Amino acid sequence: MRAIIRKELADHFSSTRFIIIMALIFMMSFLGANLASQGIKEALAAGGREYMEGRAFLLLFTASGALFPLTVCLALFGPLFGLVLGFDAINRERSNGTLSKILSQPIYRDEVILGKYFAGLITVALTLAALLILLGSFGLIGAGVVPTPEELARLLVFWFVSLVYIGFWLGLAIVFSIVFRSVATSALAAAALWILIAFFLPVLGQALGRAIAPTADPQRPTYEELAQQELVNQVVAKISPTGLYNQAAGVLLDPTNRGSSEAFQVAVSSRVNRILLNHFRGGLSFSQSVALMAPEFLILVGAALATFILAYLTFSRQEVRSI
Amino acid sequence: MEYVVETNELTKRYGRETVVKGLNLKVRAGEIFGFLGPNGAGKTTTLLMLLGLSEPSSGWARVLGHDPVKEPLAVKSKVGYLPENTGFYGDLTARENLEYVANLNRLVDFERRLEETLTLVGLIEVQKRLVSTFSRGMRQRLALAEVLIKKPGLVFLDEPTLGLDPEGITTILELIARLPVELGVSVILSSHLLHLVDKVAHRVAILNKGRLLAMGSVAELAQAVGLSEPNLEEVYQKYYKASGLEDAA
Repeated sequence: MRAIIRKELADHFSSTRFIIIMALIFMMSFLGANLASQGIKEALAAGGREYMEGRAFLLLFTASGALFPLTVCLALFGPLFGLVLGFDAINRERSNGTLSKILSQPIYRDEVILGKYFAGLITVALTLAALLILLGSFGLIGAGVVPTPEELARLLVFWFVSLVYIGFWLGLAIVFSIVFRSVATSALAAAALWILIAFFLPVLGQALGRAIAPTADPQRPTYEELAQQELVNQVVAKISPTGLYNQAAGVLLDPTNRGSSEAFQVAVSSRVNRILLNHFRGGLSFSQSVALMAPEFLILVGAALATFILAYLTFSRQEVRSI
Repeated sequence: MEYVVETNELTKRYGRETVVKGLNLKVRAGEIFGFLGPNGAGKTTTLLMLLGLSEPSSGWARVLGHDPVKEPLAVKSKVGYLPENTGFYGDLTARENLEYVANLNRLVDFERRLEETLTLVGLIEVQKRLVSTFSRGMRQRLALAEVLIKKPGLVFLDEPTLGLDPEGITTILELIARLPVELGVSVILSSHLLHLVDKVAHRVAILNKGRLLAMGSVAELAQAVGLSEPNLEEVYQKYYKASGLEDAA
């Protein structure tokens, strides 16, 4: 399996598509971080040090300026990264005539799929680590903020959550590469699913919310109506890997974020209550944030495992005559 | 070991279709064994079962003393397989393609073996060229090198001369003929090009619609059907007519 992983890693890091998608993610993240670091510098100069205590460094990755912050960038383009690494993993070998050659060597069939999956995961892990380190260094130099150990711990868990999230898409792409014989069909199916989940599902959640809990007076919606709509939104977000990732990443990188339950509370509480809630609440500790995002993270892990197992079983049971 | 391949009532079914029917084969050590039949005769399916890549529906096989179903890795480490229309990584050099196969076989210190194999197939001078620049004939010789790098005891060559020009065919056939003599490798040569097999094979088996029609040397088979001159083309046609399956040829 080591030979396959080595070969796949070399292929990934030297492929043009990898360089293009990486350039896109790095460029957007850096632009976002640049704007965020300027904002942090200004806020610190204006005396906001106390307010940003323990999360100034994390703001580099989450603060939204004129562009996407890293978390949103990864939520949207991370799937594309996973899909690009896997959509032709098997059918490319099949159409090149190299799959039967590999399988006739003294290796188990599992090793082919495991090798390709792990090589993809290693590529994602290394790229994400490089991105976080570069952005962090950028923050250190640009904004002059030094990360606390807790912030570093949050970033480490965020790296792992992102890896699992992109791993889900990688597994899905490999399934497509096994099921579809044509590389073009596999790419098209993967892209269609990405667009559906990343862009249409959130819109669908809002539309469903409005359909299930319509507002009697659209100009003055009641808190109950808003709460019901938010509830539907959350249910839809729970079936979307992108929604789950957004929630988990939001809680991890922003200690004041209380996850989906907070959105629900805010929706049902009165305006005065919300102001009071924001004024008096403190940041969550690292362990509290981890505990809060655990359900979303576990669902993501389950989904990533499910796609990998599906790829594994589909490939293992495929008759060699059709390979 | 007298026989490198032995099968008993080997059968393969895909759903209701039986593609290999009760095959009884015996391939001797050190021989070039021609495996003949038209497209769809069941030749490739049989090779896949012998290699442990496809499980028989019934019957059994022994390859170099191993059961391909229970010990596929033992079989694949001793048997080289050149599939029909084999492919390469065009963005890698000939040497890198060969190194990848050597790594898949977990070979250690294979540098010398690599040089020897590339010399044997006549590609040592172009080993650092990208495979995408290779002619069909050169690719086929590289495919043969990939089969031989593990020093197999037996090789399965599935239509190795397909798409080659006459010069390429001659080169490949000469290489195949040298294998038992110089390397002690037994060869199963699957092809539907009878005149080519006739040049190198010691014995042949004729298959059609998954059924074994005949097995033996060309001279033996010619004698059995009353031909005075041992000629594979004529032998083949005689067996077809006798089997009543000539429509498939």
